[in-house]
Amino acid sequence: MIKLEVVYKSFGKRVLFKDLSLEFEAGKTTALLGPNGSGKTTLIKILLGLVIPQKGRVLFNGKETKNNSLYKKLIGYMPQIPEFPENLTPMEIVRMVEDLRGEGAKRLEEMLHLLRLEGEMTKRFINLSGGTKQKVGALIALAFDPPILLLDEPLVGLDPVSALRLKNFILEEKKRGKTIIYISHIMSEIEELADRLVFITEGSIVFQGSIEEVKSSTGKDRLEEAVLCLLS
Amino acid sequence: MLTKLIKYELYDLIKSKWIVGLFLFYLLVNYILIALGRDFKKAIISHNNISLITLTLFSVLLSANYLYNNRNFIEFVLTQPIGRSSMFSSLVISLSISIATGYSLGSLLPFYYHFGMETLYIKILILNIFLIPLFVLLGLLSALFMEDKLKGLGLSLFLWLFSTALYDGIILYLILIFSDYPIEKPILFLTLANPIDLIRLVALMETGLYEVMGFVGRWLAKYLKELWFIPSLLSLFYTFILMLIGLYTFRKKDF
Repeated sequence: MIKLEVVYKSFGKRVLFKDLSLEFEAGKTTALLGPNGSGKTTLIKILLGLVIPQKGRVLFNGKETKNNSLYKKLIGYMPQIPEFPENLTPMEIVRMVEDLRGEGAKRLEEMLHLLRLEGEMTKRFINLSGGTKQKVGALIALAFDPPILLLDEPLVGLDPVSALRLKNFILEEKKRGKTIIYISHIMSEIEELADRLVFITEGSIVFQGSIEEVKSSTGKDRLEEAVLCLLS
Repeated sequence: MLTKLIKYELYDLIKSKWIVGLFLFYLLVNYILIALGRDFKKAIISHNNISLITLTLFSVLLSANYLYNNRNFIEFVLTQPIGRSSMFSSLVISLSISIATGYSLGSLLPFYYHFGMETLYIKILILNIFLIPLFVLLGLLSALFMEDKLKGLGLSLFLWLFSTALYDGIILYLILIFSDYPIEKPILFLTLANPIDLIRLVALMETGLYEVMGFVGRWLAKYLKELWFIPSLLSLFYTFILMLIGLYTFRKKDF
């Protein structure tokens, strides 16, 4: 269970989250939706301890995350734009993360094959294409088999085959009972993957519930239309 | 955890090759200094004057630039089970080690080749090396305080200029304004409060040129002849203060 309690975050004069409280159920896939700049990525960064709220608490399995970095061992994070040391190769990056986490990448071989990265592991990160960098980001997030996945637009920038493979993999992980928090703007993807939606605009939650609930509350049959209705 | 982080940062820094550039710069500068004069003491004084300006400048700029260029990597490391204090400390240590390596190798080799092993240049190198973490921290703090890279680099340049030149200018101005008053002791205190000035003085003292320094020189020769390492202690003291500020700022920083 991941919980945010009365979180307040502002950047200068701009208040992003005003006393935001939210729960992510264990074993469920939650999609974070909202227009650009609504605070989805910042919310994920608060969960990761990258952004520090001025007030409020973040709890992982009932324990507060403040001044404690060990809970991050439970998380696999795939950022929108993965950036690693430019001069290291993907294999060196994997070894580095293994070293920092103090555990081996249990599913390395499986992920290398799935993402078709075998031939790229000895090239310097700076020399990789955008899509391959994205795959390295996925590899690092998933190869350690963590129980919680935070995925920020994971399929953007991937070729169609890799995107399909990765989407199927995420579906498998969902079936295995992982807690997944997912950011995407592609509604078909969300319909396929998410159990629950959290719709954020300007730092406030305007809706949270299942896909069926959003459709019935807006009276729309299609998720795109329901989302448009929430936006307006 | 700290040692693991230092290991990977050093590995990345070595691969980025600017340490090699630093090494070649000091190798060339020192070779020219020695070849031009062929006088050991003159070469040491010139080396010290150049190092106090360039080494502090490289330290402040390279570290500020490193933080801006590697922000995403730092962000990535912080998504792993790593404490922020360890991350910041590792940045300071790995940047300091890499700059110190380039500087000491580039300086040591030409002096050793021409004059053999002499304690004088070893002392000067040690004094200068102790300035590196201090200026690395100034660079990192500038980058932490300023989101905008240009402003951050501007701030780090200002801090460097203040420490290496403006501070002396202010002291001279004070001497001029208060020339009718007995200000020797406050001026001496102000001079001793700046490790860069103190290293300059120690270098002159160690090479026997303290007579040219007037009151401060005579005072130093009288009391500090055996205490050549005092500037290093002063640098360590400032480094400690800046480290505390840096750790506090880094813990509160949003990435």
